[in-house]
Amino acid sequence: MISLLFTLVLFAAVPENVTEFDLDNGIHVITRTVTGGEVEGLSLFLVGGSRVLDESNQGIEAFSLEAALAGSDTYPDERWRQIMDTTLASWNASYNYDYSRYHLKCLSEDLPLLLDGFADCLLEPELDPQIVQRIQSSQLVALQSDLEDPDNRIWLVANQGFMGAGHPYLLRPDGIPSTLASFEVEDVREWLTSRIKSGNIVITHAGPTSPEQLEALLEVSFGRIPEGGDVLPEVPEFAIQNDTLVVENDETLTAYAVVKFKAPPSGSVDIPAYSTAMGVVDEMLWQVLRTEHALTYAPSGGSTNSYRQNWGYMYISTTEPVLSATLMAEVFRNVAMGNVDQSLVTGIANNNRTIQGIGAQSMDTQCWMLGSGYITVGDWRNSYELQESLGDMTVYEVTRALTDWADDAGWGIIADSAVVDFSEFEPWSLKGE
Amino acid sequence: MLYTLILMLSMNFPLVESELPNGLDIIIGEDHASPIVTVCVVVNTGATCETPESNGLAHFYEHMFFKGNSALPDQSAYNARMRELGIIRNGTTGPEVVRYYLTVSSDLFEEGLEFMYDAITAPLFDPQEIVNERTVIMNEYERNTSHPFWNLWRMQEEVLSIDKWRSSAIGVPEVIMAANQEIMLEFQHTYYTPDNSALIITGDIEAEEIMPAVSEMFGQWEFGGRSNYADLELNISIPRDTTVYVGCPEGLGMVRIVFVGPSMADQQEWSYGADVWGQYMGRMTGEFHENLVANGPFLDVYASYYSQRFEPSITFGGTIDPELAEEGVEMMREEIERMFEEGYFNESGIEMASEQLRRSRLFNEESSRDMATETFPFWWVEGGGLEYYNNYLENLSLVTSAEITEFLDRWIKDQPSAVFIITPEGEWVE
Repeated sequence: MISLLFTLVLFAAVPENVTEFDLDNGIHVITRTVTGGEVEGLSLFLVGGSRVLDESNQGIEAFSLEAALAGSDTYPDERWRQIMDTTLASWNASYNYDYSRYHLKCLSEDLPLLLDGFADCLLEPELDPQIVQRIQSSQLVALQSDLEDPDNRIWLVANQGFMGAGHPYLLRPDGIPSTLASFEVEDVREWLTSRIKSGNIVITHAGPTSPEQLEALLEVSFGRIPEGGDVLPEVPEFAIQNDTLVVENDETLTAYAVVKFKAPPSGSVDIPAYSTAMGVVDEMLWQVLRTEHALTYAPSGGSTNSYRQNWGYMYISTTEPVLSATLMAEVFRNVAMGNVDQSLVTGIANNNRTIQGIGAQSMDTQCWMLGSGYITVGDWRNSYELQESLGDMTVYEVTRALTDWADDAGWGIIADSAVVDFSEFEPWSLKGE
Repeated sequence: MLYTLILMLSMNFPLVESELPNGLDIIIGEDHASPIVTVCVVVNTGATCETPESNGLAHFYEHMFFKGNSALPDQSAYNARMRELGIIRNGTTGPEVVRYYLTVSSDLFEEGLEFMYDAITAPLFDPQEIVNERTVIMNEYERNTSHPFWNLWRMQEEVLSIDKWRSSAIGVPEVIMAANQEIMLEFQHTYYTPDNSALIITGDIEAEEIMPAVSEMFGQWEFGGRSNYADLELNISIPRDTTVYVGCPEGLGMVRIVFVGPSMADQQEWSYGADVWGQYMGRMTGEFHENLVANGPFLDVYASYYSQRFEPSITFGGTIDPELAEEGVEMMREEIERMFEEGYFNESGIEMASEQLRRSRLFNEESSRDMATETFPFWWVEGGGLEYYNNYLENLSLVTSAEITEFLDRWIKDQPSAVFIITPEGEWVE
């Protein structure tokens, strides 16, 4: 596959009032000025994700950031809680295969204080053992609750066959119970010391604070972060060699199935066509599996498009997994063969315009788009251009992207062997005859 | 003039409210931040309107809303029109409120409005589509049973609800599998009328410009006058102190202590003190957090009043090591007792709680789409119109420590409670 930096001539969706600058220590900042409100959004991206983890420390970054944000030497626990009470600021953390993201939502008047505290927590975390232990227990409860639900777990089951042994994306950014339970305060301190470096960080902002004001605020807070950073290895392609199937037995009333397959990596020119194609697949899954066959409440299909290595996916919950999986594969092959009406492709474009409009109302979404585009291909504009370009193409372009990328598929199924005959399972092929 | 306009307060964008002669409330918010518009219809109905024989059908109706209607004869035509207009849509059915909403590019506002009008006023309830949808909804039901908290939800319905079917929107399999056209039409006839609904529109539109078209289109919706929603009775009761041991997956532990709260139907005057109290208790520097989390066994705690018309509740809860759950209940009870000691509620803390609620509204109003789909529908139903929401901040500012004490004396002191101890060793509902 040819991988090229993806740029489009179409700039209609790219917002105005976006400014980029570097702090003295090299931290790159992208800010979109949005006037008319009082709500500020600011995201700190810590680049690395699964690539900086190993089997034994999965989840260490997620845990370390949560622990750090409980207070610092200058803003110890009680003072920091007082500030949270006074400002009602909210923090939203997310951790994925390529980066960790910590997002702050607050009112403009509180931004200076909160930025100072935010940076201080990262640089001089208090790490009171009792508080750290409480955070650890909370994260464990959340993780176990998450994994208990087969609707969440099925995505990880599918990873096993699809990604191939040793792929960094098999390492969980949010951890697994055994690793999460093993971390000590010193592990956290060491991790923060090694990772909180200017070269690992990108900051994005959306809100009424001007770029000049923001730069001044960030220079005195995040400007204190030491220089340096990790050299990250390339993310290898997924190593799947054949169609695979991983089955998990669980006493559930309904079965769950997910199939994953290769999609164009970040920067590929095929991303818009492929993403649109999977949008069409999503529509067809709904039409065939839900409307025509009433097999499921929630079929879906799609693709990731902002990771270094991406994948397409199809999902279903159903009491008839064999028939459903057979139909899912058939839907995919049909779309790849071009059995698609142009109105479906145009519909994806129409929907995307609306989705883009919805995202523009949220500072959080704006921060994510600015950072994601910059981190994946080096230019924040990419996120907006990509969204604008989805669906704006012909059936031929769309189906060709799917045909070019159709390859081995990694299936995962969770079902109850007392209800479903596992001997009928097979890895259903997505490739044409 | 076919409608009256009332200017309302919003922190971020102008709002107008009006009522058509057929009784339909119309709420319009102008927000030009993005070239989209969101249209939501909210209806005073939900599981609370059901009987044992119809448990799950309000939700079933929601599914049929997204199928054929007099303008778009089947699901395929419906979906094709959505794609054509770029409509992003959804609907939800809760115990007390049902809402349907769509977002569309603002230059297609009238087409989007018409799409909503046809769906809300003229669904076909095609018998074959109903048969298909039975198994679809059964799959939704089966998915829900896998959720780690499914057992807790069911236990709460058993213990707190007078009529448990009025709390369960998803319903029961035997009713879902027997749904038919007749009962759908009955639901429509009773509840899906303009005098029992509100139309909410927010986004890149001018209220005065769109009002004539909105009024003309939705003015045709026939007045009903048949809904019994306002006459439904309270559906929560805790006659005596009760403790229930609820099963949950390994590793989890939670406790909840629940009291009956004031109804939004006819006891709204208590709700302002209740909300300030809940916010006060939730402060991370407050005694409740300090004693139970910072210096106690809980991982997190909360105390809150749930503004509901039929199942209003006051809950103290928290996450805890399952082995410490029973001890945690005792400690939480001690904290509840402590609330009645003099000086527990101080004016500066109350001021902070009120300010937090004001800020919370500012954050909520960041997205006018969220306002149309979440905030306004909720408060229109629970407040019985948007006047409650409109006057909310002013009423909060009047709350004093004396009012909070009054609230606690009336709703918590010496009142029976239901305690839920949620651990892997607890019981499971069949």
